[in-house]
Amino acid sequence: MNIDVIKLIILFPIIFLSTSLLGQLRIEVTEGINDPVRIAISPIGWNLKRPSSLYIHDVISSDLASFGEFDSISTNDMLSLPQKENEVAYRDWSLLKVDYLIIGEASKTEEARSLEVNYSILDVVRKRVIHRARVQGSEEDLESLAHNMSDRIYKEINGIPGIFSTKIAYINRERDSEGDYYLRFCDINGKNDQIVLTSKEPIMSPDWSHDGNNIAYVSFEDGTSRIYIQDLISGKRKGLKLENGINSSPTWSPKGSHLIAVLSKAGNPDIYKYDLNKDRWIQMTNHFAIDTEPDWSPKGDKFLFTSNRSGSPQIYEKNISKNTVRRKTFLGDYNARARYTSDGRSFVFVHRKDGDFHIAVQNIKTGRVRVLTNTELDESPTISPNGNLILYATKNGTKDILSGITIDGSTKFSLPTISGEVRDPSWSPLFK
Amino acid sequence: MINYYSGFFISLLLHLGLLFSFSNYFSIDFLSYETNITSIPAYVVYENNLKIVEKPLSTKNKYIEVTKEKNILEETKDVSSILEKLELETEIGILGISNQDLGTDLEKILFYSSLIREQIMLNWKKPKSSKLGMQAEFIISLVPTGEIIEIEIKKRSGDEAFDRSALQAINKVNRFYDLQMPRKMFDENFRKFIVIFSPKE
Repeated sequence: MNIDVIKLIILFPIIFLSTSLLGQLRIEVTEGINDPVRIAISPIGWNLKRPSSLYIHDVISSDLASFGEFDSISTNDMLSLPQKENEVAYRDWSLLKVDYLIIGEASKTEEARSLEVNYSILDVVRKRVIHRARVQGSEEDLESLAHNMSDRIYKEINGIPGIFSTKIAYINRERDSEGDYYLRFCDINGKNDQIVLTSKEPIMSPDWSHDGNNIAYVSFEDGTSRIYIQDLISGKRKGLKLENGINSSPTWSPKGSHLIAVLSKAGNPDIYKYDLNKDRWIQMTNHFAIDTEPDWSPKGDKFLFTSNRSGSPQIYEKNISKNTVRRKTFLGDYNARARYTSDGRSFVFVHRKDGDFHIAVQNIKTGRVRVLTNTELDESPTISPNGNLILYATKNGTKDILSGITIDGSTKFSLPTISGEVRDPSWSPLFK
Repeated sequence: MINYYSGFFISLLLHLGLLFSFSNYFSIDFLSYETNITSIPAYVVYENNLKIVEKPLSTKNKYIEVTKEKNILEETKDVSSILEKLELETEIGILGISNQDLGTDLEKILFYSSLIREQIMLNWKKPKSSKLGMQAEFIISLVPTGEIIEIEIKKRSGDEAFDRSALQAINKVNRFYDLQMPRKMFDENFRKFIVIFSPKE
């Protein structure tokens, strides 16, 4: 048969359907380019008496450029520096191939020591204002106000929440000192580091509650492992009911009324649930193998855990209401420390390949696995609350560091932290 | 005398060894009494063992008030230039220019469609919120020079950032290149057509 005829037979229905049913040609675009969005933040006007302690536009600009998603142009390259909408000449910005422009002004409010920034986001391509907003904050804490603006701008352009105001908790031990253990947290750029707890004995596995006000962790201060929860606003702290053997790996339930953790009071490690109101443990898994490292699903109806019941460490998921356990990972002989992404559709875990430990992500429905990192000793992944970034502990030579990668594997970043051992990162939720 | 001392010392060592090994074998724990003192908390034994920092997390409230969120998302290009374009159209007269390499009309239409698709694709920066299953449809009106004169929203995806990125992509194209085709084909297919943005991942 003539090839043209075959082509026709294949092509005809497509065109026929598309033109006859709708009377119009339909063209489907399924792919785009991965170029960063070009953004310009014109210096924010400052209408206050006291000079500004930092430049808001600098903070926003470096925030947005952090993970390769945005390309922010420098002030030196700008042809004009508008502060008001009527001062914007779109031509200046389309010449620079800018997609979005942010302008704004800071002014004093009636409250003492507080200020507000009125800002607008302009779509340079379509020559229009797409968003106007006002952010209020304290004059002393301009940085957090700027991070807040970054979050809003990110959300408006990228459609998912920005995480520039979130925090990262981690365990740190300074080798040079007496070897104290610290539970700390810092901003996602490593700044504003704060100590939550100092102890002579090890601290492990911090986990933020979903409201961001509490943190759970394991402390060996009593000579044995015990799970504590600490209120980060009042500083109050509470030890959970101590059981014999291991008490480890706490993670919060989505509503914050329960914790899920590992106890070995029955002889071998199993997963238990802790009711914070009734102060009691409820057994969730019962198997002679080791069950450990649980993580509660975002909806709270399931949890993931690591078990060696098949002979090697693999990840399992338990449906709480149906009381069923299902094995999730089948690739390789070591898969552990799983954490759900915020949409609950995938999980991130530690996967061993050719003897090296990497961070990988698996889609729960399709089972598709993508290995994201190529370093050797990657451990304890934690996911940003917008589901876009993964932070994990790894080694740079002999030095412990916190390193990160976007969930699509495209951009790497690292968290500059203070010296010494750094491990067990835990990303905070979005603060409301 | 020296020999007595050393003999005594060696025999003491041997006896102690026996005692330890027997106690270990029969799991008699009178010698490991130290481990039983677990009731004394560590922080009593060592001073300053633990330091709890109070109120590390300040919750200074930032009041965010979105005063105005204007996003109409309806698109019409500057109408003043359209008339000029229409005049141009007759002058350039694309009639008669045909690409000999292409066979049937259907193949030509597919070819030009893929040209259009490619030019939009190269300008589309998908936002992070884009997901499989999202769909936005736009009706694009062209003049024969390939210039876009109108973009109309037919169907929204429900995600503002997604719709906006699609609109930016079409706007950035501004003019489709290499659409040299007979006038009839242009009028029937490309004067007005639908572009669907639907991510495959």
